[in-house]
Amino acid sequence: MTFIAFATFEIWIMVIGALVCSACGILGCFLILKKLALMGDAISHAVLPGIVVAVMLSGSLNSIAIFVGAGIIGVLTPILVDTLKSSRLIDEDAAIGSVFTLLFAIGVIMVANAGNIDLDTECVLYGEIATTPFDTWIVGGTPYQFDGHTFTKGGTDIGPKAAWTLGIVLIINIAFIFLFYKELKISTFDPALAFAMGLKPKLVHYLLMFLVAITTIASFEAVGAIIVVAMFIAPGASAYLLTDRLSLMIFLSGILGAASSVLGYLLALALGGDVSIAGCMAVAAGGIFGMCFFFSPKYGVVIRFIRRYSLKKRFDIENALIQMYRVHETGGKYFAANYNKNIIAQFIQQNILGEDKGKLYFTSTGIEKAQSLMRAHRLWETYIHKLGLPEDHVHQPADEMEHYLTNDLCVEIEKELKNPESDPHGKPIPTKST
Amino acid sequence: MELLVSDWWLFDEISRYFLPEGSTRRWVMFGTILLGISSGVIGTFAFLRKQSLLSDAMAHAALPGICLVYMLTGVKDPLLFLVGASATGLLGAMIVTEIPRHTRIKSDTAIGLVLSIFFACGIVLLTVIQKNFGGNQAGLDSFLFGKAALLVRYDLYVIGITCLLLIGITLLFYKEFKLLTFDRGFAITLGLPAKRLELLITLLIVLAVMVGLQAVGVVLMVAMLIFPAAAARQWTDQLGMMIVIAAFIGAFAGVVGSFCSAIITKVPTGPVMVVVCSIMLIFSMFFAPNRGLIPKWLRLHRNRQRIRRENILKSCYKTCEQRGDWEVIFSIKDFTAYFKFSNYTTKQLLRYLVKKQHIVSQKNGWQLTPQGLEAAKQIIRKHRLWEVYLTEKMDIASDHVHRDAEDIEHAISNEILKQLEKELKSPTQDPHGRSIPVNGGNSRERKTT
Repeated sequence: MTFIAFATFEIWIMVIGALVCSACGILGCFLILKKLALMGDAISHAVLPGIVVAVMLSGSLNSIAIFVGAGIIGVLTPILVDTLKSSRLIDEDAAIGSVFTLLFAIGVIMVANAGNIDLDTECVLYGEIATTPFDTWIVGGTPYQFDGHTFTKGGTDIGPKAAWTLGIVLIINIAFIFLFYKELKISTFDPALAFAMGLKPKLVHYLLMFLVAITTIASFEAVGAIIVVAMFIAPGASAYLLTDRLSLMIFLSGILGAASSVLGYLLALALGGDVSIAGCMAVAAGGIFGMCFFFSPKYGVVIRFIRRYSLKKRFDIENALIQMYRVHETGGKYFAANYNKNIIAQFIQQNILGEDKGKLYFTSTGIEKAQSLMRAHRLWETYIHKLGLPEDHVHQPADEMEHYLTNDLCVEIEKELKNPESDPHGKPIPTKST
Repeated sequence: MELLVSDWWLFDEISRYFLPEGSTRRWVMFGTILLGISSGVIGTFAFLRKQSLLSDAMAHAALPGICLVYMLTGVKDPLLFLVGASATGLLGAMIVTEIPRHTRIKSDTAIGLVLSIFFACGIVLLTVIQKNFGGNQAGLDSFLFGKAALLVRYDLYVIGITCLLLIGITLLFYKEFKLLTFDRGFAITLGLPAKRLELLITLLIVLAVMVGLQAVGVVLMVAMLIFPAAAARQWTDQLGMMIVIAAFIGAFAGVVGSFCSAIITKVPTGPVMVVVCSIMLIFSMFFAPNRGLIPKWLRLHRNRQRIRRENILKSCYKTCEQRGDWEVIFSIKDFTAYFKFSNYTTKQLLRYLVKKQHIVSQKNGWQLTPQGLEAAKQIIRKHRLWEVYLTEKMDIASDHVHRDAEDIEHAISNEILKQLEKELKSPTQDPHGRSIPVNGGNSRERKTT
């Protein structure tokens, strides 16, 4: 057994990745539920001009100015989209698409012309999570000038700056969700009710957008402007497939985000360690979503397929049973074995049918089972006949309904119909055998 | 930005397109024009089918395809890139349509997922290429921002042929696409293979996106699909016309974009094309004759002014009727106090009425002219006839009809007025007991003057 030992910087990479994924993931839940996933995408593209202007004005990438610029864009983008949409000249998707692409285009022109500022487009797009652990925050040191730059001498190293920024953003996000949980919940699921209750859904909405922009900015140094979209959407979408409870969904998205960070780093190591770690984390988040998509115990494709298959199988068996019972009803204890061999074998095994010299007959349990199905079928026929359907139209619906009617319902229908003796076709309705 | 500043620099720059050494510029412009046209044409369908952002997902999904093709073949052939990019782009588009069908995840989330995760795959592959293929990835990641100015002739052949193919297929299936876009159900009842045609449209959008990637980049290609179509939509309600206008806007953006980046250093073509298109969209949204905001606002304003003028005439008539004097002189205070208009608005309204000779300006105010009286009578007639109609035919209590009549009097045309008269057999009194005036000089009111 091999023991994987991580260097400190590797652990920091995973921690920073986990902070990014969790901070984005818990906000992403609301983006997904409010059908604003693409607004997150739009904001992450649109912050580009905000960053460039902030860098031009402040001259550095690590400043509060960037957060201000991004925050402004983060609120501006949804406002612009809403304005365009409310003019009713173009649809919502075109409105989102035109706002963020225009802002992005302006950003690209600015980047192309801002040669003197230190803005690496590759960093903005892909992120450099591998270098973030080395940009540490030192407190208590004495600053000195060297070659025009400010360096710090001495002091204590309290960890990467990115970890601090992202940690603070994560705490802000969690605090926001805690403080406005009720407002967020109601305005997500029923905006009209939220408005009627005076909860200011608009304000909550723009606050959410503001935080999305802030989180994007805090993350882009690590993961880049496009991969951050995966961090926003993938954990939340995975959690959405696992649970119906909002609180649990938020919690799960945070956990899954952290998990995709660790898995992503392992994937990057598996690919040789020299690949885009942020990209790998997004791929891992995608992989987790893929797993949830297929194997979620509640909404997974596989479980749905199995459910549908077992339902179909039950229908087949019940239909066969009813068919046999009809033959049984016409008289004759025995009937020929012209049914699916598997089904007959199964019935014999379940002691529903008995076999006597190649001929089949119903056992007492078999008759009981078949009768309860037949009862459901004919009771339903009688019931919808009473509702006004002509008697030659009642068989088809009853054929489907017989599989769903429970015994309790049958008793109710019987009561409603005052214990009918026969169905509209004149065939007897088996009574409940007790 | 460094402009070559001389008196004739613009002319010089343009003339260089026609000189032998300007062949690169000509080719680039030719390519961007074709690109603009094809994205306008295909974008129209994407816009109308609300698939604008699906194209965003496709564009991002192209990156892994391009990387895979390069890893497999080791050459940078734009045609091969196109094939690889289209393959993953189409795969992405199919995943986007499949996820909402099988789970409760909505399509916007699906688009965001495909977009970001495919792109992340592409970035991982890019870094793998960088490591294993000698770092020679230039031209691979240029497709993020596009390098229209660096297109070589072979690129342009690929772009040109694909664009012509796109336009040709669109023309060929024009009728089917039109039907499918506006009435899918009807298209199916006519026996059109809706699923296959939709796949074809998706494929066309993918191709249009992929062709543009190298020239203008991922994000901006999406913009090129949205903007010309959205701008064209404002000018017309006809699909054919919309396609033509969108193509024209796209082509114009291509001309301006390539020209700007040729004469100004450090200005990339793609973003300029997008900015040009967005300016045209904003212009269209404001000034397009039917849907534009300003024409709409003007229509609203004109209508409001007409209603105000009609109300002024009506109030004059009512005052005259009350006092039994048809030559009352009104001061401006009468109007401002009654309607709560500003002085300026009132004067503007009165000036217009004077111009139309509905009132005349006297020494200490204004007075209705015979013409104005006729116009006022017409409105009062509409008002009171409608009141009669509501009480008699609609069984509404007579104290509830005034408000409704107040609104509708401005909307009733003369034809409807005649119909009303016929229906009600020309009544002489409204439900409140006031007389309904009759047009022409021989009415009772005129006699009292």
